[in-house]
Amino acid sequence: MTDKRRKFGTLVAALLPQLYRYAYWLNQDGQIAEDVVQDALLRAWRAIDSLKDETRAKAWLLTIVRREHARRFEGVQPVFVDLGALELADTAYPAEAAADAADLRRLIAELEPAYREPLVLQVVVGLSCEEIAELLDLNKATVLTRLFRARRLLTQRVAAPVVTDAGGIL
Amino acid sequence: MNCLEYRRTLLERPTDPGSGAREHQLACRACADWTTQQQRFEQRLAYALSVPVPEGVAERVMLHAAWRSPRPHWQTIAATVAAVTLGALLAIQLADQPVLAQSVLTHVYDEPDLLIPGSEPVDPARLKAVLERVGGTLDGTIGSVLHAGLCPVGGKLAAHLVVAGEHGPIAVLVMPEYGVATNTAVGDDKLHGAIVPVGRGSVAVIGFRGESLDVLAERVRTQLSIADHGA
Repeated sequence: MTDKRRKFGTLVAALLPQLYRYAYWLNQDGQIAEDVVQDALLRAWRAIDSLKDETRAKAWLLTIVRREHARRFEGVQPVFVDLGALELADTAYPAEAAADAADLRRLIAELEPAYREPLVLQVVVGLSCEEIAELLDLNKATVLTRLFRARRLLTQRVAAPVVTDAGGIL
Repeated sequence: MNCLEYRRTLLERPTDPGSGAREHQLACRACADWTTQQQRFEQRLAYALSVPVPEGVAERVMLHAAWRSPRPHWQTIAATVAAVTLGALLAIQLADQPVLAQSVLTHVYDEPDLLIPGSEPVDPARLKAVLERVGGTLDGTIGSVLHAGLCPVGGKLAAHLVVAGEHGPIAVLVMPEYGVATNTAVGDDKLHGAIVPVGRGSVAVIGFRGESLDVLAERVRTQLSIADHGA
């Protein structure tokens, strides 16, 4: 195995869960998310020489996943999936937590993409607001507003108003 | 740091708000209580967003990467020149073809990786799942299926299968949203094939010139069905 392939393998192993979950929340379809991530990673492999700064690898791969998803579904009407029918096994957690997660997933899926995407990038991928702004081509204030509104909508809908009392923070 | 700044900081950096925020939290009861609720919600949120990741994706990517080496610079240039030339020729040759035939050929050329031989057969369960998403059912076998994925063809969802042929991969596009009355020929100087009516939709079978597609097209026509109401 070459060094280049080993380096790419390490990147894939480290970042695949985040890339998959990001792709999943772009369309809420596991099959499509898997296809998008596979194709995006193969594109990344072919272009691996263009990655000069390894500290930028995560942002680079997320950009490729985002573009791959957009490329596939440009002009396509979204396919709405009944999240209740999806088998998202939560075997590692108690049944109560799994039920709560299923309810929350349904609410997250109902968020507008403009609110959902920054939230996923912050919570799942761990990007800073500056990194999210760069990836989504937004300014930081817009990212903060969307993050705030995403949380406020979710907390309102789950009837647990933990963010609402900070209504004036932005 | 006041309460407003504290809560803004927590929104911006929920997992690592910094020492200034921690000092405020210790000094302000209201913000301490708010933070407890907020952290509880963040845990629920993180758990809900962390959907299970399918097994084997990384292995499949590395398997493909093993036989698709990054191209040297000169090859990239050559490939680009070839693609532009091919695209121009294709545009001229397709000028008189039906719109669907153009969409089908364009889609096949848009997925150049799938025209390269050398992959392993896909898991039958995956093939079944992909077909189900477009309302398709396979009764029997159409050959060694090397790829099964979902793609937009002309803006409509389709299943893109790749079947091993004698002279290279053969693209089979299952298109529930496009009905055709009769077999419709598709081709240019490199690829040829047909769009075959199947149920309420159609299936395109496209291979390299020189590849005999009649047997596969017949298998597709007789063994593949598309339900009236696909996914």
